[in-house]
Amino acid sequence: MNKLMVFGAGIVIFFAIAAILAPVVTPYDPGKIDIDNILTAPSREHILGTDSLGRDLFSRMLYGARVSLLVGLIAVGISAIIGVSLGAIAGYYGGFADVLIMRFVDIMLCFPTFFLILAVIALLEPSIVNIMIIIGATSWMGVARLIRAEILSLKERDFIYAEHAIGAGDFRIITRHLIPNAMAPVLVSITLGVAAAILVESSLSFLGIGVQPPMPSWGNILSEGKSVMGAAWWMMLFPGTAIFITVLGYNLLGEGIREKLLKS
Amino acid sequence: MIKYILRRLIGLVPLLLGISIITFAVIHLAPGKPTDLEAQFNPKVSLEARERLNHIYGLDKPLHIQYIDWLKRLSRFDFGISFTDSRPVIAKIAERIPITLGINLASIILILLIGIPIGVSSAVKEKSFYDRSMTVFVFAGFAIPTFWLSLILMDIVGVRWGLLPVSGIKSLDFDKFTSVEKIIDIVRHLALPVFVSAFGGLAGISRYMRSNMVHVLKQDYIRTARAKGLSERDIVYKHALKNALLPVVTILGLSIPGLIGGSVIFESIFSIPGMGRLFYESVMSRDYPVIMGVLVIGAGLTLLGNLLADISYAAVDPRIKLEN
Amino acid sequence: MALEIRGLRVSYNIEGRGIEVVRGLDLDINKGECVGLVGESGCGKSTVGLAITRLIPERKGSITAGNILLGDKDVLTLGPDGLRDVRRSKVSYVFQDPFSSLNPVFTVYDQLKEALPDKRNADEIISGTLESVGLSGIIGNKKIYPHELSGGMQQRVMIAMAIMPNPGLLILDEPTTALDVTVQNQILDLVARLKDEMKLSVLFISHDLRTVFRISDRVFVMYAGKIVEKGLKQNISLKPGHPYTVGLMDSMPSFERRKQKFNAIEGRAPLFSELPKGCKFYPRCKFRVDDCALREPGMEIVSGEDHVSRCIRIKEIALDGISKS
Repeated sequence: MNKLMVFGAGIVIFFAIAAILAPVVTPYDPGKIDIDNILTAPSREHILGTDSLGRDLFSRMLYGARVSLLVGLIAVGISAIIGVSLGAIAGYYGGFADVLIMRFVDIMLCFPTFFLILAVIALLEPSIVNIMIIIGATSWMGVARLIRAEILSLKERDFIYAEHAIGAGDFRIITRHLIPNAMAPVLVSITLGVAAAILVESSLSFLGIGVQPPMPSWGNILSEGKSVMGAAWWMMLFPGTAIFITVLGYNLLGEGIREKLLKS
Repeated sequence: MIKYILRRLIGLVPLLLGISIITFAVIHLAPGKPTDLEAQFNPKVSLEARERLNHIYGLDKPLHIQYIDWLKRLSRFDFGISFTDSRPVIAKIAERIPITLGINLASIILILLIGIPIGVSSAVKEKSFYDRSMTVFVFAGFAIPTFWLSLILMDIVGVRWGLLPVSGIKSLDFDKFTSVEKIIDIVRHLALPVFVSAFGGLAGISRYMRSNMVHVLKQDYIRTARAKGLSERDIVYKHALKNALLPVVTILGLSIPGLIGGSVIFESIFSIPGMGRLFYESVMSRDYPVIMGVLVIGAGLTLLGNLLADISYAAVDPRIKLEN
Repeated sequence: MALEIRGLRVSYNIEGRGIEVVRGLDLDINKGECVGLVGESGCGKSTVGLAITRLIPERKGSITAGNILLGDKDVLTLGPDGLRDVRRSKVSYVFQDPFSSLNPVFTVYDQLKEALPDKRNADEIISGTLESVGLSGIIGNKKIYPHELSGGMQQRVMIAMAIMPNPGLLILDEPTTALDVTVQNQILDLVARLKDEMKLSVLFISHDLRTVFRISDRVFVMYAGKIVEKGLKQNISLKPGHPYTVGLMDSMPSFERRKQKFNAIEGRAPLFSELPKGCKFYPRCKFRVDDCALREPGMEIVSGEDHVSRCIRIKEIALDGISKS
């Protein structure tokens, strides 16, 4: 399994570097329209071909990687912050706070997440910031449950009693001792969460309610690819493969971390 | 048993209440009023007309009154009137639900029929070449975007090979068909959507089944079965399988929201008039009564699915005593 | 002879390496005899039990050498069908934890019936067996599941399952360790009674010398994958032939000893991956001399040919047994 983890980490790092270096390595401006070269197949000039406005697909893919990874990471960051805080409060204080928060989690889990996301997007404009917030706000429940369970068992340990005995405050105990010790399983959930967030973002963009053109994202390139399906295979093959491989990379990395944690 | 079901049903009440509160909050706490947007589509709508609209929808009342009014109507299954075609929301949803549930049911059956044997055989041949290949397949299944898979299948199977229709649930001349032809027609139309919606779940169930089975095969009672001289077939397909299968019931319950949520994507792509497409269209046209209705019903279906899963689990696992 | 094991060697795969945990073991059981196999946990005694019908999981390890003779058949040469036949009707097991050894999702009745090689008159045989193991209370109740029974009753079910095919050999692997003390005694009494009534040949595996003495005719003491002492129960209890056996006696608080106590054995059982070169007990032995570390001792006669021990100093040192009290 370790081989798979290394493979996953390799994919993740590769795409991260590609996204960071996008302005340096792209041969063309991703927004530059070239009417003379509409939907040209991959060639020496345009290694992944061009889209229906003659824009270079390779450049758009690299900038799309920035969007996808950024949305994935920030959305998961938001979901981790919400999940960790609520889970920690529920686990540490117990009682009414616990009942209230965990009921809230139960209720949130009843909604088909994709429905909830669409409903909120209906109200807010589909901008990249809103999408990050919405994905984050609808995907924190698993993290909350994990953290709560970890803290419930941790808070009975001796070192926490010792902290109480020397008069440490709740906030200090939670943030300095409980959360850091409870993070291991959350790490797995976060890594897998990035994959899920990338999938959601690309689905939304594909449906036309995610990242809006002309800003490129793998999802909206595919959406365009759908309309030229018979004529330009490259418009469908490359962005789809990019999503697939990136998601695969994060999943493999997450599973690898899980196996490592199980062994230790 | 009946007592248990009743108690569980009563337990659903607070959850349903929570679902309604969140649905209401999502729609009403966001900036702007639903009628603003409706009015925007028609610039001629005057301020006066807008206020009249607000009054009709009760949007000029305080929020908590609005919520209670809405809840009262909800309890009578009155979800209001659609903005787009003025039909009752409940009627619009009711005609779409069977299609979505039908497709999801078919894909669940497909998932079980294929996923369980894959998981079991991988576990029995743990770490073999077959098991490793299946692991690769499973990870691919997790990672492949549904909409991309749909497009590829549409392009190859539907367009290039012309094997299956790629849109809708029946042909244009459906009414002229004999009943056998009608069934074949529907099956042909739904083959791709069902396959696509099953694909991700297939990976999940086979992975889950594999790890269950690997765990069960290491249990002491399997050693007992072997020590008794049972055949390898009885050991795996009787003693181990029954133990490994039981928790799958619960997992099915948990996978319902994902399946329903996923229906938005493949129903839009394959132009299937189901609940997912209805929701997508309502979102695009900001048809709030329908959006709220589908949210509540979608969450309600999840609750119902979980309840059914729990009841079936209690029915099949002898260790759970319902009387207590 | 009910069972004869010669030169048995078993290796476990530990972190990719094959490590020998049974290192050339000889053991024999006469018809109708109860043999106790005793040693600390981790000495390989359960492995010996499992090896007899080749129940060691392939992923864990394998038998690398030796013969395991049941009558005229060597279990190690049997094909799948022959092996199944041995498991079904020749050798039965009762394991340590009855709760985890019974399948939770099948009824007790179904699991009993499965153990019968011949299903004719199954109900009668099952009722009779349940009666003889003291479970007449659940006779005829075909819907009862294992979790509805107490631990002691579960173990009686396991015993019923084991004796039903009227096996040539019954292997009991720590059958009382997971049970309450009072229940332990009842189960031991039951085993003793069944052994006499049915003239069973029994291999009784335990870490507890007291229970082994209580039920066995002969005792084999195992240390680090080998037998270090064997003999009739009364000979060993009166005049133990190996310092390790004495250590085992002394770790049992209720034994009264004539003279000074050793108390429990010092140190811990050695890891199989780093066994000492000479006598494997050398690092923990009160009587060790430099010669002990040179080579692994062979079997020395303690008192008559039936009582032998793997200790080179057995003639020089005086070991104390248990007073008859």
